[in-house]
Amino acid sequence: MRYPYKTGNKLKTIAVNINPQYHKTEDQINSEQQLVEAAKVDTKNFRPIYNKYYEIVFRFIFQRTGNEEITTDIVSEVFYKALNNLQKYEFRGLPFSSWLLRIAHNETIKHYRKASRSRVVKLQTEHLQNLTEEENENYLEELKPYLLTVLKGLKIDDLQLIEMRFFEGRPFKEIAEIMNKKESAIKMKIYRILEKLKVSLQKK
Amino acid sequence: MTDYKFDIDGKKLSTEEIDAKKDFDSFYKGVQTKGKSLFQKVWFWASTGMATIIIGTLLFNNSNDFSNAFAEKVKKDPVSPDNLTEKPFVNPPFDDLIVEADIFKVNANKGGIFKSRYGSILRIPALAFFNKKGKTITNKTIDIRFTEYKDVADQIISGIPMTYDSAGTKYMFSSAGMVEIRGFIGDSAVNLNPEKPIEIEMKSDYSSTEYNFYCLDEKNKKWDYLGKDSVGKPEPIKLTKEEINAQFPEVKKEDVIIPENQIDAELQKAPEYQKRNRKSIQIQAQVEELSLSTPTLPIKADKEAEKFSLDIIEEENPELAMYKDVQFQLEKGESINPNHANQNWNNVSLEKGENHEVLITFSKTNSHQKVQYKAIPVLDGEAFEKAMQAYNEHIGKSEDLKKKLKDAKKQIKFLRKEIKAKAINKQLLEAKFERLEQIATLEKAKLENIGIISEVKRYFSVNNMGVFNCDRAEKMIVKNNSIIKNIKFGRNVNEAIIIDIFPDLNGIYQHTSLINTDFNEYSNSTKTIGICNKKIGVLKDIINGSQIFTVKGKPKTKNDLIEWLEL
Repeated sequence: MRYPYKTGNKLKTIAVNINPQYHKTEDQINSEQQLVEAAKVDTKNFRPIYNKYYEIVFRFIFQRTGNEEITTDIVSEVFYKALNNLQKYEFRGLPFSSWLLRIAHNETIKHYRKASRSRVVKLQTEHLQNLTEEENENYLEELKPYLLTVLKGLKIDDLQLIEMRFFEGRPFKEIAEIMNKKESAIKMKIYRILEKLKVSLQKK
Repeated sequence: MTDYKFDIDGKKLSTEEIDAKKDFDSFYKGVQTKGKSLFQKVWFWASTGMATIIIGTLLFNNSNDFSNAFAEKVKKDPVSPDNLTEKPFVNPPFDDLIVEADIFKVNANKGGIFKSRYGSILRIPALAFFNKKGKTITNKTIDIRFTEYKDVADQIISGIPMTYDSAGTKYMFSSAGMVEIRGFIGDSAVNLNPEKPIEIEMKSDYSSTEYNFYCLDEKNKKWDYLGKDSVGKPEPIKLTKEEINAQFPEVKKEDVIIPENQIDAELQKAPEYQKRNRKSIQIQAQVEELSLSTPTLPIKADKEAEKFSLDIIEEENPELAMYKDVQFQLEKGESINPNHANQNWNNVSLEKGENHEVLITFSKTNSHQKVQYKAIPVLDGEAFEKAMQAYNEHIGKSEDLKKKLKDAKKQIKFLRKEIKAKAINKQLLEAKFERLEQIATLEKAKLENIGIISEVKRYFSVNNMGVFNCDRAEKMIVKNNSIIKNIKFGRNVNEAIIIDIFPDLNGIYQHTSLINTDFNEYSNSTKTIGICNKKIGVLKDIINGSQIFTVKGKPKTKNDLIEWLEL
């Protein structure tokens, strides 16, 4: 999927590398649902869920903290909350990970509020490539400071949508589930952020 | 404005690294412990009840002993009795007692390698120190104060909190060793350049790899997990076969020489030998006795040769009795002078000559006349048969005794051989052990020469000054929970610092006892002590909420602690 925008005289597009980790077939989602139902009956059956989603949750939080120790603690809290609230979980055709990640998202926010620290946004240079689809590495290096400047100009709520969509490659549907918003609203929001970015870049 | 920071191209974690942190069993145990809802927990009701009583008391009875400050504390944190009173994070409980530290004078330009009193090694790089402004310190001598907290007594003295909080669950630290490293120029503290970490080889008594590595975050009052240290157990240095053989040639059986007199001495001490020797001497005596009476081989009379006999009166000449039946046979062709035959010779003497010959001298007492004949004693007929039989019997008996003597001597010889073999084997074994000891001594000497001692070392590096701990978080298991109504610490007091001691885990757990709050007794603690007004008391009992301490006094030395607490 490409979103055209212009930087200076060059027409750039934003590409999304979809991370297959977050995309499930219907059968896979149904099988996850069976795991959840088993865990609802007996909490000991939570083990396969824990093992299956540990890495996904860990990466999600690590992306936002950059600290392994803090991440480990938050991950424990996420699974603890998930286990305690498992009875409330309703299957809506989305991967179970979305529900877990919503808890992870909330717990991370809670951590930052409590710790009064700046939120970390882990970023790889190739993520910027996702934003620009710039093939030429030299040009990307040249573009990097501008991109970072415009990204820094974003509000944290906007940046985390960019983060989920372009740095983590999540589908709109999943982002909507994590953020507890409608998919259309998320789409619209991201288009607007991109527009804002485009304008900011053109100014640079 | 933004409230975030970018971490560009920072650390990426592999699936394996994340998997290593995955531990459902621990997580699930944690869930079971803290999984009860707030209203299900005993302390919730206790705290709620207590808070109600306090508020009620404050409203209706102003003369109550409860202080407002205490009530405020309870209101602020009604669910954490361990933390009700604010104290310094690192709180050494005794004024005059500290854990002795090593002070290393370090040239800031050069750094260096330093060895602590316990044998731990510090490798300090050159230009490793920053001043307060973050600039590298040069041309100065830095005092590095290095303290090792080896045991629970050190932990108690240090006042360093040995508790760890992970996601709200409290743990105690089972320590494989804790160190504190600080740097000073005069009284001013210096920092460490994070890019020039100090490498530490900490001598430890614990070789398990299950310990984690933590740094004390004094600002945020918590331990930060830093990862894992690495453990080095000294492998015995093996000498090559050539080296061993060159210095300590292998001892062989043939090399063992035992002096014969030593074997004889051993032999003579052996009861079996004494028995056999006695028998041998006895037989020898018999043989000798028999040999004295060995008869001459009887010679059968030659019919052709001339013979004569002696008319011997046994009573008068008992020495000649043996010749009673003997005939004296002359050489062939010789004969007896008939004149001699008819005379009465009253003296006869016999002298043995060669080849069975006997020289027989006849003489008379009343004249000088005498005659001599050379003859061979022979026997004839039945006398010969009898003599032959007697001879054979004697020889047979003699042979038999000789054989027995030979056997007895053979047995002694065999016994001696046995004793000798045993002595050789013993000496061989001793020599082999001695050789092994010598090799081990050499190997140990080699170990010591290269600075590797026989104990475990834990390796880690630090890139800031502070307290570092190789620890394993051990979950606290509550045995009993009670509301403390009274603290008898010699006199009644309002609160006491409580330290649960776990010598087997080399750890302590510090908390507070405060009247009218929850108090936990932990099942894996071997001893609980209280500290109040710098004095130590051993918790004797808790009866109906009344905590009773046996007060020991103010410790002046670490030994006081060890003695009083039987550590």
